[in-house]
Amino acid sequence: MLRLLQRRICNPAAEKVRFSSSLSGNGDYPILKGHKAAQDLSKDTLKSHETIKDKEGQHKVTKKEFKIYRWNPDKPNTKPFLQSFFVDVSTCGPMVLDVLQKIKAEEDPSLSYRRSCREGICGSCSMNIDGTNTVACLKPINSDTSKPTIITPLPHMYVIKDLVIDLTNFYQQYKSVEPWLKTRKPPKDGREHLQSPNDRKKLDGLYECILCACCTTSCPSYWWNPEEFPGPAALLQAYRWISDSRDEFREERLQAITEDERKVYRCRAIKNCTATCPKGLNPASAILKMKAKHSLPDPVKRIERA
Amino acid sequence: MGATKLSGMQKQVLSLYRGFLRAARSKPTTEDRKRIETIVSTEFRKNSKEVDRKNFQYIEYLLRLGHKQLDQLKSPDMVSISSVKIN
Repeated sequence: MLRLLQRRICNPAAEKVRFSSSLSGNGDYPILKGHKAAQDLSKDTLKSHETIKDKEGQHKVTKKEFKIYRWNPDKPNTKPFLQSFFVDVSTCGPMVLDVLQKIKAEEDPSLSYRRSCREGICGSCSMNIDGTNTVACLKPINSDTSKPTIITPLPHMYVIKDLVIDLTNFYQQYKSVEPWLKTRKPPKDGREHLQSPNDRKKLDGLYECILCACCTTSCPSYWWNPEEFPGPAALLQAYRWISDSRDEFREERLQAITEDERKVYRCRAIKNCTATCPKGLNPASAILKMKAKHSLPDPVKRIERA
Repeated sequence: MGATKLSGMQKQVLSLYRGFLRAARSKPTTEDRKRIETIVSTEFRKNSKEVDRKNFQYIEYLLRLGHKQLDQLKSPDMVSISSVKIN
């Protein structure tokens, strides 16, 4: 294989130098080692991409139906509705965001949605695709053309236009958790608050939150009390700051989040949040750990009392 | 005077209108104050005639938009508002 490539590279007269396409592999990329969620996602994407090619590797025209929620505030007397778009998925990128871009570019420029990084790190393109809350840039298209894909905004949120929702309440709840480092004394060496690798490991699974609001808008407890209950995302970040070894206000943070039944204790362990997180995080376990920390005292304290 | 009881949504609209007028009173010059009052009152009166009373979704959308604009107007740095008519 390598010799074949070398021959092709050395021969300047060769017309077509085809390097092996990354889409023809089996999804086992060394860079994804240790990230099971990403490996599963890449395998699914390749599988769905394969079904839209025939034996010669040529793309056949495959039209899939997409039903997208539409509502325009400039036309106030029309009620919201699901508009059908038929898109040729063989000439389109693999993710749902690519479909939305294609529709906006070719069919209907008035389709409104948020998007930024197209790689699942900014959290802008979060929406409800086929009943699950995910980010559109990480969700591969379901290549089954017999069923339409239904795209709606995140559930139980006020809609500004089409797929754009009002997230100010969500951001204010995140702010209420005070997601910054709070210390009483300046750092020991005068420059940085140092942290051991073991302490840093405690933050794994907490710091990766992209604030896409998928978990919060999938929580029934949040649907019924959005003003009171901070939601799984804010509580996950609260736990992230509680478990940060550099933070000196641990007790106060824990007390603020567990003082009445409106914050942590609104959680009923429904676990929709963990099921829907596009980054594979576990807000439910973080909330459970905070409840445990509140009800049981730390082991060190018990020894001191004796 | 209105003999019928006002619905909750009507009360919200009226309190938003009151909020705008109060914010207008806190502005420095009378000219700015009058401009804000005329713009806000024409907007509210136009919407009250054009928007159907039962179109809750649109009324709630306008209320949320109005509250955001009021929060912006309340800040002491904001001096006045202006509106442009496009045909």
